[in-house]
Amino acid sequence: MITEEIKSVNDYYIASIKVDEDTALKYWKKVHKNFDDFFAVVIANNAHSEMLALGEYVSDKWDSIPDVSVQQAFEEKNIEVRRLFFKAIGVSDLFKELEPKLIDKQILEKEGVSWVDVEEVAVTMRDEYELYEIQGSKLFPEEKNEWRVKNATIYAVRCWCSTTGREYWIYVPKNIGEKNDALEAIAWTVQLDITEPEYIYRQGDVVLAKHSSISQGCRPYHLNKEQYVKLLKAES
Amino acid sequence: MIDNYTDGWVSTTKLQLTPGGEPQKHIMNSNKPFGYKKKTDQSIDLIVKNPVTITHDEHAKMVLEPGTYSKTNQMEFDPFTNTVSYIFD
Repeated sequence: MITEEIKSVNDYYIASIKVDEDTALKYWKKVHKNFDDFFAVVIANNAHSEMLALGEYVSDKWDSIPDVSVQQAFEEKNIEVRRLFFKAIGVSDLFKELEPKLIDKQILEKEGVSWVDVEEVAVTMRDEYELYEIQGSKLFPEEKNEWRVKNATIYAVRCWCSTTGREYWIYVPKNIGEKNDALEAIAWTVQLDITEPEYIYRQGDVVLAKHSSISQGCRPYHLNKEQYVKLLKAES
Repeated sequence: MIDNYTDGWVSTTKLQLTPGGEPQKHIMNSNKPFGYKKKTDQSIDLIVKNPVTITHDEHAKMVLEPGTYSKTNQMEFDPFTNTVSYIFD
């Protein structure tokens, strides 16, 4: 068990940011769905005696650790800690609460395939993609440095599962968001390591790329809009 | 190559495509063996000689026709750490 004396001087490093114990506990509680998940990810993979002691200590406190809301994240004066809280809150809740700006919306409609038993049948796929932006000045209003404010702007693409209708939000890099193209954004989320694929299937987050007769292994690359539209043949 | 189990290739009739041991997730199934080679947890090469189904509790079934495939996961960016990682649903 960690003693109060040791605990009082403990700092933690999360995503290379030094934080105090209260911040670390709030972050872990927000990021992990329960204590077992926290233990599996944070403790078990680094299970020397001090980490096991930390796990035991956090176990005792877990139920009493307060939740972190978007509002509480904004009340955090330390910008690095606020970034950690934004990270922990997650893209869906952050974009739902902060009234992001819709910068592009596109519908992809194309012929694809589905299956009845193992028989392939032709279907028309129809997907809607929306690209949103939250300005850095909204996330870090006290920041005076123009470059930092500009670079703090975040982008996410919103899409829906074609089987369940469930909504998903996926962050994309700034250089992709700045293209103002929702299809470019969703295309970026697919990274392949073969040349000349024949087509891709997507089942949830799993992507399968069929090799063509001339495909070769290559350095991983993100798809662009034209490649994504051309290659997507089935999704569920 | 697959039949000889060489060069990291394994022959099987059932394969979970995502790590973590959640049995409802993206399961490849076939009556006849197919070959796979894990490159990383998220990246797997597949050689399919007979149709293979991929099932999931929440997503509609898919069928792979014979051929060679590369499996990966969608990716996401983290704007607060400037990192890119795989998505798992």
